[in-house]
Amino acid sequence: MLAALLVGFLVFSGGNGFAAKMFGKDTRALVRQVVADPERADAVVRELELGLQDLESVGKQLETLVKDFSTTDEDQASGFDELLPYLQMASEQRRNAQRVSLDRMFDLRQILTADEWNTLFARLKDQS
Amino acid sequence: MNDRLSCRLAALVSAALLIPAIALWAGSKGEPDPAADLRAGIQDVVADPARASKMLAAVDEIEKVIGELESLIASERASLRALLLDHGSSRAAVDASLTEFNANHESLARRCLTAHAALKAEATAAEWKKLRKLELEMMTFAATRSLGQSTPSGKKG
Repeated sequence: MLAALLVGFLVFSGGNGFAAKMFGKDTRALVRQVVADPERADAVVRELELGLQDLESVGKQLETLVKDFSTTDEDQASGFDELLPYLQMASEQRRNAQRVSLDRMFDLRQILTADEWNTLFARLKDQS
Repeated sequence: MNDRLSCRLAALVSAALLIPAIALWAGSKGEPDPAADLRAGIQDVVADPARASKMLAAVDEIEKVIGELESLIASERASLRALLLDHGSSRAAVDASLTEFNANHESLARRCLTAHAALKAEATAAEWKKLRKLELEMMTFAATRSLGQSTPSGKKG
């Protein structure tokens, strides 16, 4: 879960990032409450599952990056030039995660009505 | 994910991508103050006043940058929330908001990395071995707070 939270942070900038909440497993139960049509609810849940998989995938990439950064940073002699590539890779990963998560969110908005979207959003906010 | 990995994860994000929330800790009664611990560690470990002064300046810069990130992130969070809540908002509008945010975020991250490297450059290998953990705790503290996790217990090494 930390990985998902972390990616959520990276994607939407803050603790309890919206992406982490939106694609978290708890949202699936909320969807069942909010979306009366079972077929559309299923479609939304599938999209949420894929979104979570996206986040977990990025989280794994970050774990590798973290490990490599940490190893390099332990050496006092490693300075800006040695560490900068990690910063650049992490920034690229963040941008990629943003793009992928936004793709999913806009897919979700296609499936959900405005009322459903607003209700879901409000309930997610209440949970934070 | 084990604690060690979680710590590393948080530390990287703090050091390289920069997570805010440090601004919240300063001056709060009963709150850990890892930045103060790092400053005290520098004064304790580094005998050379000139180098210690430069290292303290680097810590000041890291703290300042993180404060700026706090503001940036709060602003972007509000902007994104409004855009995403609006069922009719365009993808282009969201992308534009994030593009601007990313540019500012990466600029601040680079400043923080510069300060981090400056701190290291002034330390000897032996000093860095002692101080790294304190800097890591400072970063981890910020990361865990921003991620909504329990803050570290402030173990010293």
